[in-house]
Amino acid sequence: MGTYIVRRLLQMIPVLIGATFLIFAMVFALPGDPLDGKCGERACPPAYAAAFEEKYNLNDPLPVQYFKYVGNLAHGDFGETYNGIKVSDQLKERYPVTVKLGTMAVVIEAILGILAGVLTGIRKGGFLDNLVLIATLVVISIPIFVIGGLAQYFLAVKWGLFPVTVTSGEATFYQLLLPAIVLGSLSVAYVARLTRTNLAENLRSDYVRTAISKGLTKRRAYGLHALRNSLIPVVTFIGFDFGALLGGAIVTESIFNIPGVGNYIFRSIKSRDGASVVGAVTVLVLVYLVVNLIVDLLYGLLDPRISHD
Amino acid sequence: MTTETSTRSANGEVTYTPQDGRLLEVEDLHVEFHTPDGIARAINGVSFDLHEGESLAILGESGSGKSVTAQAIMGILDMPPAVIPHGYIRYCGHDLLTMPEEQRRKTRGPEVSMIFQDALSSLNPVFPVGWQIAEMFRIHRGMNKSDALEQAVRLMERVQIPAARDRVKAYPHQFSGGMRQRIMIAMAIALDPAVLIADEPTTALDVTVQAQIMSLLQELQQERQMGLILITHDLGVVADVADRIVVMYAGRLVEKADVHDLYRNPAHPYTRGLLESIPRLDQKGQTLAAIGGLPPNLMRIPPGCAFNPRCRMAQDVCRTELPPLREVAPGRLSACHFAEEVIDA
Repeated sequence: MGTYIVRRLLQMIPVLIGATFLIFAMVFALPGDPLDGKCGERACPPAYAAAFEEKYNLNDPLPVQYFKYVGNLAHGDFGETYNGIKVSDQLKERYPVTVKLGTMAVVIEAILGILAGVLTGIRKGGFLDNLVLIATLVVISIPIFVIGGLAQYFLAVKWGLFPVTVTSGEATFYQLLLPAIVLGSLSVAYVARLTRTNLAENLRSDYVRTAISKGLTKRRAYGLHALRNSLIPVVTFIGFDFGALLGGAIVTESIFNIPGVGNYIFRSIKSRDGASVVGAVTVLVLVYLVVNLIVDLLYGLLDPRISHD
Repeated sequence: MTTETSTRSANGEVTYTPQDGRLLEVEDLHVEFHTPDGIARAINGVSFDLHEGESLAILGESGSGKSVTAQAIMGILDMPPAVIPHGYIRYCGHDLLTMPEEQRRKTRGPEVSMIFQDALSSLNPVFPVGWQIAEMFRIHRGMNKSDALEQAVRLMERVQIPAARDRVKAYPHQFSGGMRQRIMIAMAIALDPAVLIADEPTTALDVTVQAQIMSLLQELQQERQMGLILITHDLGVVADVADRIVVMYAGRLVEKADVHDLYRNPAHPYTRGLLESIPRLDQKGQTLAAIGGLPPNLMRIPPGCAFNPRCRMAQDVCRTELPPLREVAPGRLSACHFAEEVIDA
């Protein structure tokens, strides 16, 4: 187990280097000059331009720029935005909002999805089953910006059940509730279907037949023996989805004006702010890798047949 | 017919006592499966009974209805699609089929218990084996966790699992096939049931392990005076263990006899075919005898005797008239129009 974790952590290094290099190269390849418009209507004074280019290593070739960046990164320096703000400060401010939103969305998707999956899996083919099947199909088919827009217009603007947007830097639970529902809705559909399929399959399994012939109640045979097995892939899915949600939700965060990481990356790309994009994405890659590792370890705990030796 | 054979003890639990030594009576049992393609008649009027301490083997090919019979007795058929249009299954005089479900549930384990063919898929992969055995004591006896686990260790030792105490927390996949089947057996006998049904308990195992499991079952049966129903298609397995044999074909009993009589001279062409198809060491080099043709489709069982398309002795009467199960010699029943000739052959 210990050696497995060490091996996985070491594997992260090449992945991290590769991912940051790709992002760095892509940002480098973006057309445009960060000095454009920096000094208003006219070109910047040559002295200022030279100092600016020196500060951000803009005259070095790509590999040199990259190594300087990674060198700084190695001791925790994420660099500065072109406005002179530290990228790490930006991330510190925005990351908690994204974590909060992602956690709320994951809790919503887990509770609603598993509940719907269990109710439909037990009575496959019933009225509720068909209803949920159609509902999930509809949700899966609609793009998130449509769901987000409709939810915002009807639930928030028209009926006033939720705040329309996040109005301050400190996003409150109530302000994030509707975005979290929107963000979780797609995954609710997947979780419900995954739970339903697995449960329905496990209900027909030999060990559930054994459980019944042991004289257990249906409730225990289904609710403990079958469900415990059915939830293994569901928990794994939810874990990976949580990793993805921690990467920020660009569309949802934009619709509801949420000051999270997704929104930050989106704005940085628009303003050609290379340091911000690379810094934020590096953190996202790292978080995603760590969450993946945790999910894999969790999988081993849930299913004793998986061994991490 | 049903006399009062149970008493309710002070705590409201029903206790069951056999009538004249009879534990189980299956009478005119019919089971159908209603599928979109039609009705499959899996069991068409099966009757037999099981006495205390007796071993009864149910013999037949796949699809003969032997496992369905066992599942009907246990009450673990999926209903629907399965339907039991008529018949009785009486345990100590109580009809299991009309019993309230909650009362019937309480018979599974303490009264009637079952082991299955494939122990790996029949054990829950995510719970330790000791936990799964202990669950019997916790659910039926209300025992606490540590006492129940102690009982599980005792049972694992009884079915000869080496280092039982160390392995009580191990998971099913960590055991060999034979050891897993021993765990299934430990679970099934945990509450000292009066009837144990073993549905092809050795089919998935190596030959040497098969013999060990069979002798363990026999030993436990004698030790606890259980009624044992052994379901198998393997005549070799039956000979040592069973007292009586019923042979099933297309959902009907075709022969019922003491084990030695049946082996010495079968009273039904189907049984004879089964016996002839056992490979023998002293007949090396000869073509292996086999019963030609296939078991009938249960949605279209042929009229008359269901075995007639495959029977070497079939006459016109076999294609039109269903032979009843009748006594052809003292204590021997056969459902063949020409049973006497078969016996004499």
